[in-house]
Amino acid sequence: MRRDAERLAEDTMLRDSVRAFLAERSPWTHVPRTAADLDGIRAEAAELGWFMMGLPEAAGGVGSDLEQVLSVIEEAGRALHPEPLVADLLLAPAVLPADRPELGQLAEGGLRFCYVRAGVTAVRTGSDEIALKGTGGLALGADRATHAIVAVDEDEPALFLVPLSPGRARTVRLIDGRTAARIAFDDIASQDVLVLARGPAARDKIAALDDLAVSAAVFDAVGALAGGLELTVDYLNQRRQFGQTLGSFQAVRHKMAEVYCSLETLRSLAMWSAAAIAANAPERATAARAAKIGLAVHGLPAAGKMIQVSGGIGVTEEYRIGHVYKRLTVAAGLDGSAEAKIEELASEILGEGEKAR
Amino acid sequence: MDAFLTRDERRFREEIRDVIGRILPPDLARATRRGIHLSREQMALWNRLLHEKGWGAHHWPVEFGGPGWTPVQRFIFESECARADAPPTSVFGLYLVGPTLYTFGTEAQKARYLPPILSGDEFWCQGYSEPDAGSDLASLRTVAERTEGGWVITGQKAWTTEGHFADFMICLARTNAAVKPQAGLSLFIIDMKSPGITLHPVLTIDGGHSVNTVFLDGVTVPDDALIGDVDKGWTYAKFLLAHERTNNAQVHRSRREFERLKARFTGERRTDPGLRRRFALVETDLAALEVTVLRILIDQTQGREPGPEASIVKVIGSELQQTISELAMDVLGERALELPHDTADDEAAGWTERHLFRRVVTIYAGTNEIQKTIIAGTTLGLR
Ligand SMILES: Cc1cc2nc3c(=O)[nH]c(=O)nc-3n(C[C@H](O)[C@H](O)[C@H](O)COP(=O)(O)OP(=O)(O)OC[C@H]3O[C@@H](n4cnc5c(N)ncnc54)[C@H](O)[C@@H]3O)c2cc1C
Repeated sequence: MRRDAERLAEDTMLRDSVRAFLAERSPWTHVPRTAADLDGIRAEAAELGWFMMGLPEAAGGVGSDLEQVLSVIEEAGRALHPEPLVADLLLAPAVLPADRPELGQLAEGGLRFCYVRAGVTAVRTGSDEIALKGTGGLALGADRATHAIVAVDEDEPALFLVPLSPGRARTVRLIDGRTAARIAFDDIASQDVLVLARGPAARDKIAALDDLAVSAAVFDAVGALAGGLELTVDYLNQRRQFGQTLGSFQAVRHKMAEVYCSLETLRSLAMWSAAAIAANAPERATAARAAKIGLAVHGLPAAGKMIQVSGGIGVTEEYRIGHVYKRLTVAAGLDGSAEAKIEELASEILGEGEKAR
Repeated sequence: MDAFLTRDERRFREEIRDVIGRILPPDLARATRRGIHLSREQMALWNRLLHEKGWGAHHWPVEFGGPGWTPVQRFIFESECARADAPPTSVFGLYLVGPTLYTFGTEAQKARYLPPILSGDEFWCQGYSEPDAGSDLASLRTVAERTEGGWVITGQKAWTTEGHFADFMICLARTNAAVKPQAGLSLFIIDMKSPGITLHPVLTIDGGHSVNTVFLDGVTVPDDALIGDVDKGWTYAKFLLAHERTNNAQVHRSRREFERLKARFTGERRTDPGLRRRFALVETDLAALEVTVLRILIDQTQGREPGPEASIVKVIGSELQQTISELAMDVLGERALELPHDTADDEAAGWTERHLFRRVVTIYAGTNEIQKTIIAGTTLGLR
């Protein structure tokens, strides 16, 4: 948030160029994109340097900071771009050692990462041997990923990088046009995986990754919602009923004012989580929790209100606002529900209640 | 919110906390917790103590006696005052009249009126609203007529907060009936001891007396009671509304009250899942509001105009104040139903009184409906 004039100019240039690129190469359509289409866009984005942004300079990075990478995520959300970018742009650079060759391939757009949470266990099969077992939770982009970052969050936590063979996971098509998969790990032995961290270090890294993933998902949602707001304002200023624009009716105007309040509330929570991640502040986990809660209690209802003020067209497949709603529904529902975060936050600020007292 | 603060700002916070801890009399803090309507003496005392530190008007420019803090430092100072349960200082002198006078007043007016506001020696009230001019303020009917060497003001003002102990009123009156309503208004300074002024107290639902109806019956004021130019009053009034928006969020008081409420949330109720859920949601909304306010202030600190989000903090902040006091009522249970004057539970009395009076925060300073209309039109561009 504290940016000098030079940095701000840089931010604006980056944002404008990402927005222009997506508007041209990935204009919104309700028709699901083909894999070939997405690959083409990805290759061009790689040429523009998107996949170098989050990398350390030693690995060919271009020195972008977290705020700038998140602004790319936000723009992708605004365009409802179906390609999942968070694991590639943020998570992989955050956990892979700078000298790993995968980073170089990632910079060129050649690899695709996904982040697999929950459901996977690491079983010791020999003194230094382990095997990954179990089926991971629904992970965005896991159907087409070349590598999975796998978090094992048990007594002995660990973080792995697992190369994936093509066709390993069945594609799950999501309601918002994106795709995901649940990867089964029943045959992965330790020689096939890279151990990124173990023990307490792994626990810290997983916590940091989780917060980063949530923060990015909320930035994506903020972008989607902001794009929806712009679309809806335009629509309300054009469509007329009773001889006047919809935007002139106070009931509609006030709903839209509330939508804007929700959007900026959500944006503030996203910015807080980003600032806390960048500073590695003690409030990092709290901020991420709050951001996820905000997504469910402010973001999603705001998208619903915009469908309402759009009228019937708002529930049609060919109009964009319903897809904003679906994008937020997916974001709110993935990686643990907001209800769970609400209970976590309550325990954080109030303690466990009677039992703990 | 530490993630947003620089190391210097965090150090500044330590310094402020330390000083406030030393200068705030404990019984003033107790009175602040106990109820919402403080006496003039209580507010004046705190203002004077701050003034001795050079912090009497922490948001004023240095040339008029402000400490020269950045907007973020002011945020920290306000948050520390709230955290210590320091009484609020009187809003009218410090937030309304001071900025109006140092922006639009004459040198003589500044010299006469600013120092006693700074020190807490003189109090002001705001005479804008009238019985028939609430949200539609520009339709007000109080008239100021020119006479030899001055003006004669006649009309009725409604909702005049602190009018019963104010020394002066800043009064919006009609000086030109021939033009459209907004273009014919002027701002005047009225000495509350002037002949022709009658006050009727109005009790609010918390049982307290802070507002009054003020009758102005041919009140004579001198020429130099006029602020700025004739017929420009509306412009001046609007200018100010646009400038002190973050203050209306009351985010620091809300944070403090919420922290106190957490401490009060004990016993069996503490396991109630419904209440716990509400606490978590308030925590989320309060943090978001703190960030939104900081976004505005950091922009200002870095010399940028605040973005469009500045238009939303009053609506959000006032609703949150009500949400917190509603939660407090449910946390306190039957205790909260006792008449604040009678109960022995000081803290419960404070909550109940605040809860009842809090219905006003979505009404005054421009009702939330009016705010939403402004957001829709000016900020979003709905036509
Ligand atoms: C305790 C208290 C202290 C106050 N202190 C002061 C003070 O010190 N000095 C001062 O000058 N004033 C003061 N006010 C007055 C305050 O600013 C007004 O109450 C406020 O502007 C609303 O005016 P009103 O009460 O006449 O309500 P009205 O304007 O009559 O509004 C009634 C309802 O109708 C709604 N409404 C009105 N117009 C519209 C519209 N165009 N579209 C949609 N909805 C609309 C309002 O939002 C509200 O819900 C105070 C008020 C209170 C209650």
